[in-house]
Amino acid sequence: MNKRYLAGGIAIALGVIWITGITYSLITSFLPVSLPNPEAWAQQIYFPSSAVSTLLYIFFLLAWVFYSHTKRCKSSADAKMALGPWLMLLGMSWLSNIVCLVLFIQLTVVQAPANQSAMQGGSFVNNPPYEYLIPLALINALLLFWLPSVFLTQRTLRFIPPFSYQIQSILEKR
Amino acid sequence: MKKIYIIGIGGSGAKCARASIHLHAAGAYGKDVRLGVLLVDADASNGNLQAARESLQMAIEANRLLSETNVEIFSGSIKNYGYWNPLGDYADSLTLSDIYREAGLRSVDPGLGELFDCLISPDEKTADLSVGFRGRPSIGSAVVSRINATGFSQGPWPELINDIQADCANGDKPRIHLFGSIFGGTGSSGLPTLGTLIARQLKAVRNSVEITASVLLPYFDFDIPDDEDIYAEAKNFTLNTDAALQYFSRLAGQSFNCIYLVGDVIKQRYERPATGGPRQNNPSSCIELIAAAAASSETGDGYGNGAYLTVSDSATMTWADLPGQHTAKALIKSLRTCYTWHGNLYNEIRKAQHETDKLDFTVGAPWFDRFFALNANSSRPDVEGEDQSRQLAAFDKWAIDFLQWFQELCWSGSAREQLADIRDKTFSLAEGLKPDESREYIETLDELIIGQSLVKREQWRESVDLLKNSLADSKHRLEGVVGVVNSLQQII
Repeated sequence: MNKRYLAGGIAIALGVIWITGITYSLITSFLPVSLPNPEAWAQQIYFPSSAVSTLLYIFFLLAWVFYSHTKRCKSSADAKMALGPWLMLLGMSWLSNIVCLVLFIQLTVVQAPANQSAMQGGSFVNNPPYEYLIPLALINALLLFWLPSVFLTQRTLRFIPPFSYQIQSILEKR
Repeated sequence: MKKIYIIGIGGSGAKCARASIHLHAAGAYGKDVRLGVLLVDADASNGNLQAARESLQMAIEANRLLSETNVEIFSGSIKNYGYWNPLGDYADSLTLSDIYREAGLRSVDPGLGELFDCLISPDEKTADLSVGFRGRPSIGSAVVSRINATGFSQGPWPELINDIQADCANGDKPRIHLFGSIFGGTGSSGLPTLGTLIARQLKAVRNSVEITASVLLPYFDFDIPDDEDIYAEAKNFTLNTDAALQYFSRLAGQSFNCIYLVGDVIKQRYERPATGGPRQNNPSSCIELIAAAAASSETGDGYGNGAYLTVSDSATMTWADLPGQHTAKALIKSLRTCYTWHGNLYNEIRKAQHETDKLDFTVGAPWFDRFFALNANSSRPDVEGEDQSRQLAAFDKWAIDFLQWFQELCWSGSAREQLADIRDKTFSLAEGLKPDESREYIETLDELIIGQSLVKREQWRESVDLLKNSLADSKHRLEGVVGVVNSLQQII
C-alpha cells in the first residue's frame, strides 16, 4: 500500500516537473514556435497557466480519489461502470487545461523587452502555438491525472484507470 | 483432539443433532474437535430425521473439500455413524401386538396377556409403527425395552463402540451426548434406555467416558393432526414429562455424568402438525440450539449432576442467552460469512467462471486474482476447474442449509424476529452452473445481527464491498474457493 502512495506521489511530482519545467523548456528552446519572444510568452502566459492547470489537475485527481474511496460496488460489473466517471474527470481535467491556457492567452498582454522589430514600429504578435499546446496538454493529463490515478485509486476501483492492473503488478507481486 | 459423539433420538433429537452439526461446522465446539453423529428413530421417513441426515451429508462433503481452512469453520472433522432403527429387528412386525406376539403370549401365560391389556390400549396395540411411536412413551418404552445389550453388535453400534473404546485406549476422554425430548414417543423411551445401555456396554472404560444428555422439556405445541387415528397429543406432554423425569431421577440418572434440561415456558406453535413420516418436518427452534450447545459444555458444574447453562426471561432470544464460550461468536461469524457468500460472492465467482477475459473481471473485482488464476501461466487454481466447481457447490449447499436452519431459529421467537434480521430473505439452492439471478445482491451487513449496536463509522465498515477489499489485501496461504471462504471468515 505504501509503495502505491509513494508511486502516486512520484507520478504527481513528475507531472509537475513536466508541466512547469520540461514543457517550458520545450517551448522556449526546442519547438519551432512562431512567437516573437518565446521566453517572455512562456514566462507570462504558459507558466502561470500551467501552475493553475496543475492545481486543477490535482483537484480532479483528488475528486477521483475521494470518489473511489467512498464508492461502494456490489459487484464486479458495478465497479467497472466507474470507468465512466473516470473518463469524464480525465476529459474535464484536460479541457480545463485548454480553457485555462486560452483564458491566459486572451487576457494577458505580454510585456517583452524592446527588440529590433519593435523599435521599427512593429508590435508583439501573440500567435500561440496551439499545434503544440494541445498535444502537450494531453501529455499533461496523462502525467497529472491518469498516472497518479493508477496508483492512488482506492479500494475496489483500484484497477479502473486503464492499465492499472499491469502497472501495479510491476510494483506489487500479484 | 476433543471427541464428541452425539446421538439424536427421535424427531426432536434429530433436530438437536442438526443444530449440533451446524454448531460444529461453524466451529462453536472449538477448533480441534471430532464429531461423531448417530441418529436413532423408529420412523425412517420422518421429515426432521431426513433434514438432519441431509445436513450431515452436506457438512461432511463441505468439510472434506474445505477442511484445509485455518479458521473456525470446518476446523474439526465429522463422522457419520449412520442411522439406527429400533424397530429394525421387527421390520415385518409393525404393531405392538406383532412385536410382542400377543396371541402366543396369551396362550402361554394368560396373566401376561392381561398385563399387556392393562398397560397398552387396544388402539396402541394395533397402531402402525412405521411412522414411529406416535408421541406415546408407552409404545416407545414397550419397543425400546426389548433391546438388550446384544443390540450393540448390530447396525452402526459396533463401529461407534469400537471408536469410543479406541479413544479411551489412546488416553482421550470422549464425550457421548444424547439428544431427545422426553414428552413425546421415541425420545422419551429411547433416551434413558440407550443412555443406560451405553453406560453398561462401556463399563470397562466408564471412568474415561463422559455420558451426557440434553433432555428437551415441552417447548412446542400443536393442534390435533388430522391424518391419524392415534396421534401425539400436546395435552399429554406435561404428564409424559413428569413421568420421564421421575424415571430419570430414580433409575436412569446415574448412567449420565450430566443431564441438561432445556425447555421454554412459551411454546412454539407448529402450524401443520403430523405424527410422523415426511410431513413431520417442524421448523428448528432456539431450544434445540441451546440443547446442542450443551454437547461441549463442562460437566459437573451446577446443581447435583445437572448444569445450569443459561436462562432468559425475555420473550425473544438474544446472543447473550446462548451458552458456551464460543457459541455466539462462532455462529455470528459463520452467519456473516454464509450471508455474504450467498448474497454476493457465490454469484461473483459464478460470473467469473463464465467470463472469457478473467483480467477484465478482476478490473472490477481486485480480490479475484488473489485467489484464482487469470491465465494458464498462473499457479493459482483455475476458477473453471472441476475441483473449484465442486468446492463452490459443496460450500454453497452447506451455507444455504445453515442459513435456512438459522432463519428457522429467527422465526421461532414468539414475539418478533430474534438473533438475526433474515426473516424475509429466501435462501434457495442455485440451479445449474450459471449465476443465480434470484439471489438479491447484498451490500451491507450492518443490520444483520440483532442487538449489535454500531456507531455510524462502524456501520460504514460493514459494507460487503469493504470486506471484498480486505480480501484483495489479505495475506493468505490458501487459494481458490477454500481460500476465499477461509479469508472471508478471518476478516469478517
